[in-house]
Formats: sequence, structure tokens, C-alpha cells
Amino acid sequence: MRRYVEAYVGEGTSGKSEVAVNRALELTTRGRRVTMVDLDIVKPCYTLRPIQGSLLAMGVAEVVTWASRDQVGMGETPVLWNPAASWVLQRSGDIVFDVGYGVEGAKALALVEGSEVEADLRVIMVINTTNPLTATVSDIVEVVSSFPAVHALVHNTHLGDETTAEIIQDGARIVGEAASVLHMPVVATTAVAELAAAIGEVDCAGHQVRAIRRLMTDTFW
Amino acid sequence: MAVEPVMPKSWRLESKPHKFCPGCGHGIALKALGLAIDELGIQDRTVFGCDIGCSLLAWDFFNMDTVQTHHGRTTPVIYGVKRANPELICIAYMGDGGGYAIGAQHLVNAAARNELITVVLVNNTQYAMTGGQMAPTTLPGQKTETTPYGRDVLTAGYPMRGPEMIAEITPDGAYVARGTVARSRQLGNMLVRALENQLSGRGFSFVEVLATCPTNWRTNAQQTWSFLENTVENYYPVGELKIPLSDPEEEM
Amino acid sequence: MEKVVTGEKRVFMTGNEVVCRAALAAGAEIMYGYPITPQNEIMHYWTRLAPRFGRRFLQTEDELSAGFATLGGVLAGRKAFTATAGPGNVLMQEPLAMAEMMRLPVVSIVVQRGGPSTATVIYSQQEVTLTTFGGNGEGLRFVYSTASHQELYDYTIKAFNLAWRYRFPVFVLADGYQGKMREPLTIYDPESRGIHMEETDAYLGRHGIPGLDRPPGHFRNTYNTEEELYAVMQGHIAAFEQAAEEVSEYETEPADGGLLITGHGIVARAVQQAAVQLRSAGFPVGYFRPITLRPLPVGALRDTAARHRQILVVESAYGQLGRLLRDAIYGCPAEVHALCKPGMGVTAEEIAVRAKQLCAARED
Repeated sequence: MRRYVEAYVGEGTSGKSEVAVNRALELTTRGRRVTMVDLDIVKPCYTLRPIQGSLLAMGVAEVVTWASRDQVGMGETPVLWNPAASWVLQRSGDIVFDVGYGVEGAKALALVEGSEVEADLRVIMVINTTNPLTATVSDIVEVVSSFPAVHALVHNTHLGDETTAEIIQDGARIVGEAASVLHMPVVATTAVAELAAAIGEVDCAGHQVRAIRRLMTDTFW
Repeated sequence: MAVEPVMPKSWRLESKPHKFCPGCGHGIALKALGLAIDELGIQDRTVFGCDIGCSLLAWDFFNMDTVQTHHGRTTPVIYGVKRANPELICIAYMGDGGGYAIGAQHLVNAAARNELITVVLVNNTQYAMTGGQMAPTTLPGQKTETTPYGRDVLTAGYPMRGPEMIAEITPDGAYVARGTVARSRQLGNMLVRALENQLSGRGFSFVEVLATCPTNWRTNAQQTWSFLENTVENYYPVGELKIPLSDPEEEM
Repeated sequence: MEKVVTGEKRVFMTGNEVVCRAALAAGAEIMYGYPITPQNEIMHYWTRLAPRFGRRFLQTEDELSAGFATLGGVLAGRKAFTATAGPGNVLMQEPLAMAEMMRLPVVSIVVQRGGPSTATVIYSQQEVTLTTFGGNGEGLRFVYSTASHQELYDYTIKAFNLAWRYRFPVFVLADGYQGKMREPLTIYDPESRGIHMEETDAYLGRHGIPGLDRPPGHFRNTYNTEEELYAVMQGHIAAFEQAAEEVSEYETEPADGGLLITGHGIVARAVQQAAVQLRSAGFPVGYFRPITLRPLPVGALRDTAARHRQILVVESAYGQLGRLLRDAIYGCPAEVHALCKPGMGVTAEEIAVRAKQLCAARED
């Protein structure tokens, strides 16, 4: 059976964690063993830490992050890197990495032993066109090119509670065009269930539409 | 026939006679600086910053745009000006307390970064304006208000040799010298070279000026010069400590 | 050169990025900064975006230097700013006192973290006293306390304009939640909304030979005598008082004879939410939110306070807003109560619980 090893990278507010967590849950509901790994050393331990328990309750096999009580160091200087994350590729089953924002965030993948030779690893960049850093085709091309080895894009345009199907469709056109310049596949357009239903199975640019749940509202940021 | 004193063109006549005590070294240091500025013809684009302590009395000294800052903070204000408008020639003028004690982190980091500014630091071996307390430059055994029995290096620590430190931490391109008000022509040449270093964009420049303070030293004219030329200059050797090896035009 | 914002755009980003984009849109030319959480991303985004627009940056050796170098930038006639938090804000007060004395238009963004001391890198409203009255001086500065990303954008732009118009230092007081959280806002080019951006001029390095073509610019913050200082301060205070009328801002919805809940910054959102919920449930509850903590909207505050029988001050600090407000409404007969959670967020629900208790006690 093929295993999925996916790392979700992107700019701040792209929705990396939301997409990564939803992907982990989707694989879990398909009966697969999934390990979620918190690789966010930009804003450390804030995304997955608060929802660690609920992810486990929803069937995710393991969540490699820090629990508050295990945090070493204080205030400004916690130990950022959980050693378990270094060896996580040795584990069986699917692995979903939630990576910190920006190019510097994405470089954290290099700290995972074996990541440079892992044949199954797919680095997937999440794009939200309402973030001005990735608002236009040329912006997206520039940003994606500045990241280390991105294999595919996920289109996750949203404006928080103000998201509409129209905003998503506008984003789909831009991301679709950028993907063709980059010769990169768009794995999916992600949207909350209600909007996903409104858009249909594929968006205006022909991307698969994947419904997601908003779980990050329970996290720190 | 009355002899007119030679005043630098860049001096502001309206604020003369100046506010320093009789016999103070600041007047000679500022005259050497004024003549250096005249020689280079940069009065119209030079910005002068002075610190707290006696150096602040120079706040209206020149016909140049001047800002008087806080104790030790002239260095960051002046590199802030330079960074915001690199066309200006920026001079930070301060005492030994401002440069080596309360503002040491600014001097050290500005030097290490090779900020394109010129720092002129007047070393009169104690805090003069506050009434003659020990400074980082007070000599071993020297009596001040806070070392009434003489500076005991075991309890009060050793003096700081600033130019030696700055020469060590700056990259090539920096200019570092120690002059004395006892040799104003040599001092003037050092200040010209320091300012030229900024003009040519080579790097940071730093001149420590050994200066007199008869008021706090409690010395008459003869004792003042003797203390400066024998005792102080003996502990702090005068000369150029670092001159740029490379010519920026050749590097281009 | 690329335009910072073309037209108007609905966007989604973190508060720290909002500050950076607002500073760019306001025409800020140089930032001086020193790392401290939770404001670091302002510098991260600035160093990434500023070169595209020909803007500059210097990372200094500490917050003293960041503050004083910002004064240098302003003295050179540039729109210069800095950002800090917590212990950095403490150090920043020294340069800001100089800005107050010399009336230098410095803009500082404060992203409050927990205190006292190093405390947490996360959130608080414990830098109110420091930001409004820090330094050895009289608090002659304008302090905006923002509650949303839209306000962070609007008031950061406004901060630059007010600083250069009135020549007082201006703070935008945010907090770690605002810096890191994300929500939609509209970014815009200020000129396209008819916001006139103030021109800057140089204190140091103007054209012409000083003493010949023009008098030299001699700027100092030291005075010889009490009389000399007193005369300068009288001028500064008069200018500040005059500006206060125009500068002070607030939001309110009173409930005559009832309970007035007050809070500032992000807590004001919870206050407002609680007040709206309670009113729809039939409780006589209004709210008052000072947007400027310095100068406070004293007149409006006194008038509003006088229409209520009770006041509840809510804050993520131990009475820092409370002290400002009590002083402003001194003599008002309303009872003043406090809900203080130093370094902790406050929810609308807990405010509502407390408000109901107060309303009930009043009826007994």
C-alpha cells in the first residue's frame, strides 16, 4: 500500500494548518494510520498543541507536538524542536507535516532525518489569494519559486467568516494560471462544506473541490 | 595692533566666548574639529550630535545643524540620521562616560557594524559635569569624588582603553586614532583623516581626544599640562591605531 | 517603483503584517528595530517588503538604540518608526522622553506582552501606564488602542499623520493577540480615500550654509534654569491640550441610569459584545471605549459616566485603565467596579456574568 507523506507549507494566513489537519482526518476516516507532525518553529507549538487531544480523539494515530506540560524552557526560549520529529519518517503509515509559515518555516523540513531522500514526500504549498503576498499570478510564481522544492499547490482562498463562493472562484482562476506557469498540479481547492457544496465537484478552473472543517478556530492563533 | 584670534569658519561667533571652563580641553578639541571641517569644506552638509556631560555645552557651538541627545545616546541618534540621509556627514561628539560606560553598547556595535559615522570622544579621565566622579578612563590611583583614596583597581576595576578596543573590533576600512589637546595640529590631522574616511565611504572612524579638566583635577596651568602630557599620555599612548589598508576606489 | 496598494482590497492577514503594510502605505521610509516577541513579524515583513519600495531598515543593538536611531531618522526628515513590546517598551521610554521634550514625530508600535518583567511573550494590557505616561515627563504623547486589524491599519496610517502634524510622539498600542491573530480587513492607499498625508521636513541637514544662508538648526533637550524649562513646558502643554480636543476618540452606546461597561483595545470587543447581548436580554447596559488612551476623551467620558449609576472597567491588567478612567471622571457619583485579569484574555461571557451580578445587586 502506498503511504502518503505530505508537508503543508505556505505563507502566514494561507491556511496550512487547517488544510493539513483536514487532510490527516480525511486519511484517518479512510482507515489509515496517520501521524501528524508539528514542524512549526516560526510560531512554535501554538497551532497543533491546543487541539492535540481532539485530533487523537478523532482517530489520528499520533500527534507529534509539544504538550504544554512537557515544554522545556520558559517564556521566550522554549526548546523549539521536538526530537521525536527528527525521526518521524521511520514510522509506518501516513505522515502529515504542519510546517511554519514562510520560506524560513519551510526549511524546518531539512531537520527531519531522511527528508531529503524520502521518495514519498510531497511538499504541498497552500495558497490564499486574499493574502497580498500571494494575490496575483506573478506574486504566486515568485513566492512558490522562492520555497525549497514544492511539488504541488492547494488552493485555499478564504477571507475568514467573510468567505464567499465568488471569492474562492476568483482565487481558483489566479492559482490555476500560476500553477500552469509553474508546471505544477493543483491538488484541490479547499473550502468549508457549505461553500464547497455551492461550488460543486470542481471549481471554475477545473480543480477538485475538497470540503474542509474549520478546526483552527480552537487553536491559539 | 590687536591680534584677532583665528577662529574656524564653521564656528558660530554668536555663541562665543564658549561655555567651557577656563583651561578645558573641549575648546581645543572643538577648534581642531572646526578647522578640519573648514579644510574639507563640508560645513553645509555636516550634522553634529553632542551627548550629556560637558560635551552638551557644544550644542550651539557651530554654524552647523546640531542635536544634543541623552547620555550615551548620541551614537544611535547620529547613525540613525546617517542611515536616513546618507548624504550628510555625521559626527557624534561625546565624553568618556557616554562612550565607554552608559553608551558602550552603541559605540561597540556601531564600530563593529562599520557605521559610516565619525565618533569624537573626549577623555578627561573623569565625569566632569556631574562633579568629578570616576569614569571608565580614570587612571589607577587617580583621586575622584567616588575614588577619594585613589582608584584601587582591585575594587574599582581597571581603566578602559577605548581606541585599542575599537581598533580590534572594526573591520578593515575603519580609522581609529588617539590624539591629545596638547598637540592640536596632530589632532587636527587625525580629525581630517577620520572625516575623510566617512566622506570616502570606507567606514567607521573614531578619534579619542585626551583632554584637560583643571576644574575637577584641581590643578593650576602648569600642573594641568604636566598631568596630561606626562601621566595621562603615558597611560594612553597617542597615535593612529588603525588606518584603512584598502582604497575603496581600487576595490571598485 | 511598485505602488504599495492600488485601490482598495479585502485581504486576510495577521496583525503584525497589517502594521507593516500600513506603515508602507503611510509612506514610512525607514524602520529601526530590535527583536522581541510578539512584534517580530512586523520586522520580518518589513525587511521582506520594504526593499521593493525603496524603504530602509536597521536592526540595532537594543531598544534604546532602536528608539534613538528612530529619533535620528525623524531629525533627518524621514517618516521613521519602530516597534517593540514589554521590556523593550521600558527601554523605549528613554528615547521617547527625548521625543516628548523636543516634540519629535516618532511613531512606535507597541505589541503588549505579559508583565511585569519578562513574563509571557503572549498577551496583556499591562503596558498602558508605561505607554501613556512612561519616561521622566508629562505623557505628552498620543496613544491609540486598537481593537481590530482594520483599526491597526487605519490608526497606524493616522499615527504618522498626527505625529508630523502635531509633532508629538505617537504610539499604536496593540497586543500579542492582535499581532498574531488573523482576520479580514480592507487595505487601501490613503490618498485614494482622500487622506492627505502630511509632508515631512528635516530638522538637520536642510539646504544652505548654516549661519550664512540660514540660521543653524540647534536642537537641545537640556535647559539651564527652572524658568527656562517651565516656559518651554508651558508651550508644549498648551499645544498638547489644544491638540487633545481634535485627537481624542471614543466609541460609546450609553444606557441611561444603568451600567456602563468600559474597556479598551481587544477587550473592548468583548465589552461591546457583552453589552449588546445584555441589552437584547433586557438589561440596562451600555459601553464606552476610549480609542485614545492619551489624551483620553475626558469630556465625553465624564458626560457618559454621569448618565450611569454604575461603571465596570474591564481590562487584562490590574487596574491600569481603571486608574486613568477614575482620574478622568473624578467627582462622578457612579460606583466604579473592576474586572481585572492581568495578562489574561477576557471573554464576553465572563463580562456578562459580572455585569448581571452588578445589575442584580443594584436592584436589591
